[in-house]
Amino acid sequence: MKKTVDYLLVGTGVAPLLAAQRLSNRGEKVAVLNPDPDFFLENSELPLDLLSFESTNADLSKRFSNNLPEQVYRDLIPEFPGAIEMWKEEDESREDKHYRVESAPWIRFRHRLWVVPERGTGVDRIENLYLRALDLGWKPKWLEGVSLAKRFPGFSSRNLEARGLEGYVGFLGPRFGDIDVARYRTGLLEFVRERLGRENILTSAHILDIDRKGARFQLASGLPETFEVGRAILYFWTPKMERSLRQNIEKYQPRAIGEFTAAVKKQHWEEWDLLSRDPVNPYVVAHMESMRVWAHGEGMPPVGGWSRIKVMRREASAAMLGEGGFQDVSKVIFQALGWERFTVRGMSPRLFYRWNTTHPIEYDSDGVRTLVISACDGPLHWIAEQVRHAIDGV
Amino acid sequence: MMEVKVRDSTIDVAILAGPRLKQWPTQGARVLSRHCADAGLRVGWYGGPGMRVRGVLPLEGSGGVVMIEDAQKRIHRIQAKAAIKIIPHLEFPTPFQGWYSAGLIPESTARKLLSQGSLSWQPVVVILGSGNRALKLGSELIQKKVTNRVVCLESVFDSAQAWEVERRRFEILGGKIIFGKPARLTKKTPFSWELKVQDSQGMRVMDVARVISVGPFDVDSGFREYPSGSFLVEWENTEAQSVAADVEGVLLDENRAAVLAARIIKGIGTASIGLKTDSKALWAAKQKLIELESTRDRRFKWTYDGKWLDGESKKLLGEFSGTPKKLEASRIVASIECVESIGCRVCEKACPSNAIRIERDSKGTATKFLVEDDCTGCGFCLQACPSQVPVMIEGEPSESFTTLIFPYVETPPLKKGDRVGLLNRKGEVLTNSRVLDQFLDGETPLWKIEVPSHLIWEARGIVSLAPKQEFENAEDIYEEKGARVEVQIQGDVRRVREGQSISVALFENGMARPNDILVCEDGSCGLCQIEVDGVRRFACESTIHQGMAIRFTRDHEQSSELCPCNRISVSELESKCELTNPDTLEALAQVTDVAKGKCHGLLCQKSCTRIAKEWGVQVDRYADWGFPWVDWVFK
Repeated sequence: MKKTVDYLLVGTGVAPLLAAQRLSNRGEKVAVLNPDPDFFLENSELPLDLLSFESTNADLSKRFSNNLPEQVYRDLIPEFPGAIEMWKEEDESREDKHYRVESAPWIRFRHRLWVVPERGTGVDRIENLYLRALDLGWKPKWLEGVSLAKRFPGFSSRNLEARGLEGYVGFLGPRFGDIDVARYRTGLLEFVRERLGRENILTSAHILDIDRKGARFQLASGLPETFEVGRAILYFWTPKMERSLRQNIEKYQPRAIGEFTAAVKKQHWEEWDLLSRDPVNPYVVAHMESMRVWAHGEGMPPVGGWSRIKVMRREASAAMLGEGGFQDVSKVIFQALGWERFTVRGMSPRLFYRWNTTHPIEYDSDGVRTLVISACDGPLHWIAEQVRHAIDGV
Repeated sequence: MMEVKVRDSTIDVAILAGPRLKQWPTQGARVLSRHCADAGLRVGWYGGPGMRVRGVLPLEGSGGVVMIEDAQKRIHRIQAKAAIKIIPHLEFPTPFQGWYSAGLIPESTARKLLSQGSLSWQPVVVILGSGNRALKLGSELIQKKVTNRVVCLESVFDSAQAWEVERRRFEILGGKIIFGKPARLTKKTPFSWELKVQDSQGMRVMDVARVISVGPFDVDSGFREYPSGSFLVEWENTEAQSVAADVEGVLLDENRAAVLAARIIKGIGTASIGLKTDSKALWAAKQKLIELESTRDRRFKWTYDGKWLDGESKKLLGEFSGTPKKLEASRIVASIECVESIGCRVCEKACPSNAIRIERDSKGTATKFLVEDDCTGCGFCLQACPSQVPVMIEGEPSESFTTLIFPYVETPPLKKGDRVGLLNRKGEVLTNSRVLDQFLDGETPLWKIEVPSHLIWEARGIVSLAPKQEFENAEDIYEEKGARVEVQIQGDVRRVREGQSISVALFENGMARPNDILVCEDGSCGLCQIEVDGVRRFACESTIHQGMAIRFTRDHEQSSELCPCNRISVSELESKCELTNPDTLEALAQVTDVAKGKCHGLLCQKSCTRIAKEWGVQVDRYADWGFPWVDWVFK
């Protein structure tokens, strides 16, 4: 059975849905194929930018600006069909409570806190970062010792002398935004599904062949079907899609394989989900060595904070949960936070790409224009911005 | 600072003990490892008190990394090509009002309380489910005088799920099987509850001492490999170590082990040389599984004309190869009326004279069973049969009275001359009779009962008609295990038995909380936290001693929610299914916090799966590989 569309979008995460929404708004006819049994199984979206710099000479101005809460909002709102709410620390003490959509995705304003041992190798880097932030007008606040450590989410004042906190230095940076990823992408999926119809948004779909007649695909069960594609096929590149994309490029555009390979570098992260006995302040995202620490929850934080802490730790290799991981997490928990014990409720490995280039790779698949849209994983607001630029350029 | 040592290694097949597994290794794990090892694979068992499996991190493609913590707190990171997580049976019904309470406990907790506690659950115990394990438990409760009445409530299927032989024993002992859905459970006193049941005639109200959840509440899916092709398998095993303790469970596990082993060997062994499966054993295992699983769809029933077998059943009985065809005076011969094809064979192994040789055709019909000429009437088959199916017949039908020999294990024991009632296979009284003599002593004593000859094919059970003994003191009924000491529980002074676990003591004293119902023994559920003399502990891991002060730190209330840990109701989950329309359970897990609470899904994962299935979510073969399997505490 043949169906006709203008654009065929292929991907596993939120990116093809954002593209579907944008193209539909332009009046284009769109279909979405997902090779996975369901959307978001790859979980390639992040609520915030982990700010993992290879070098502090990176374009901090743009990077910091992109993460401001208002910018995050501007990036995410165009394609989202409902409200997105915002929360700041000041809201806790506000007497006039406006009406808020509690179940909407929320953007939270949180400071970034960089922490490093004074005698460690990373102190030059942090100082450099501080100075750059100062030059750019972000008004960072240099802190040392206990006054720095106190800002940590989940900080406890127990046993201060034994923890060596006076050896820590760092600074409190600007407030950046983080978004409820699950609410955003679920809301988007519901809306796009309703808009396109279930017959145009398919899962467990594998493309068998592409030619001028269209893209022939097959679902997990049933006979092969064909989408006749009028304008282009767009692939949204996330780590899970890499293998199939490589095969396509080798087949249709082997000269682009070098560009394809050089476009990304893998970053492995461990995502730890820890329980706190007491509420953890939701005002700060802390950076300590290779780790990012923040209070985790959905929606508007309750007064005092949530009882869960998220620790994202960058791992050098694909081998997860080595000695280094346990040592690093325990350093954060026992030394910086001062807890007597911690409970791991969850841990999962995450793989993201570090993108060296973000422009689409374009080629011709037997007469059908094909584009590979890169940078479709990582912070959600980045994905939204990237997809928007890519679609506007198509 | 915490010092953590991580040691790396690799293995082909890792067989892992899941949370709450008390018996390790299980029979299924043993058989699986034997098959894999025989084929040349490197196999490891991981579990038990000194080696706690924390979870598995799936690798891309197939296999996973197993994380284990040993008694010295060293962490072992083992890369396995195949990982099999063995979990115990744990069934909770689809949530109804008040289900999460100390009044509803799973089978494992009930057995734990029975083995450790001096308990009386009078007057009624309701068991949710009608499978073999449910009826077997019910029969044990009656025989051990824990309760006078047991009612098995079947809420999912149209017919009772147990084999005919288990149903027969249960009903002969006085158990009842009813059909309906539990609607509400309310606490009346510390030792009694009110259960409302919705059946075809309306709402029925029962005063019960305890509700025990056994199941099954869904079709048994065997082992679950998820994702498909990953060789990461979750497998429910029975913890019974002998066939007699759980016939169905052990048979299923042993044969599934062979099938699973063949799949693993075929999948992993492609890169290795010389790995072979025993194809003959595999074929036999598959046939056995077909035999076991096919009986589910067509449960055998005797048909009656009033209290008596009707013509069709009489004919079937007469033609069945397990019943003797020649009855002679002064000769004792066994009658093994195990018509349903269940593949048990315990009697065959117990018979010293090889008179029981079971052969069945492809439809399960017994073509050969009892070789009556070889039967010496020793009675070993009666004592060995887990369901007490066989009887022995002495005498000719042409005489007025014949003798039947029955097993009788209840207390008080029978005596020569005692009056007994003869029961049919449904437990209905046919007539009265008397005990002639004891035939065999032992764990399962056998008794000669005088039976009118016209009832030799009808009477299949006995009930003692001796006057009920009056007891003045509780000590006359129960044999107290352990001296009583004084402790404080929530500020109240109580006398409880020394040396038992605090969880059991709480149940005995009617002070158990909803979060005590799992009684996992190793703290793995993380729910039963208490404070003992100011120190936080788990109730299931701590034992009673004189003078201790126990306070509850975390007091769950009785609730009707699907996920009591995260307070998520059934309607909330259903609305997520409706709104997000997930195709897979994994996608549903991303939009809900069900099974992500402290218990890591022990209380709610299965119920969540059943509800999701009703909404069209693909749940077959799903296994949750969330890491870690239980909360992992670091100090």
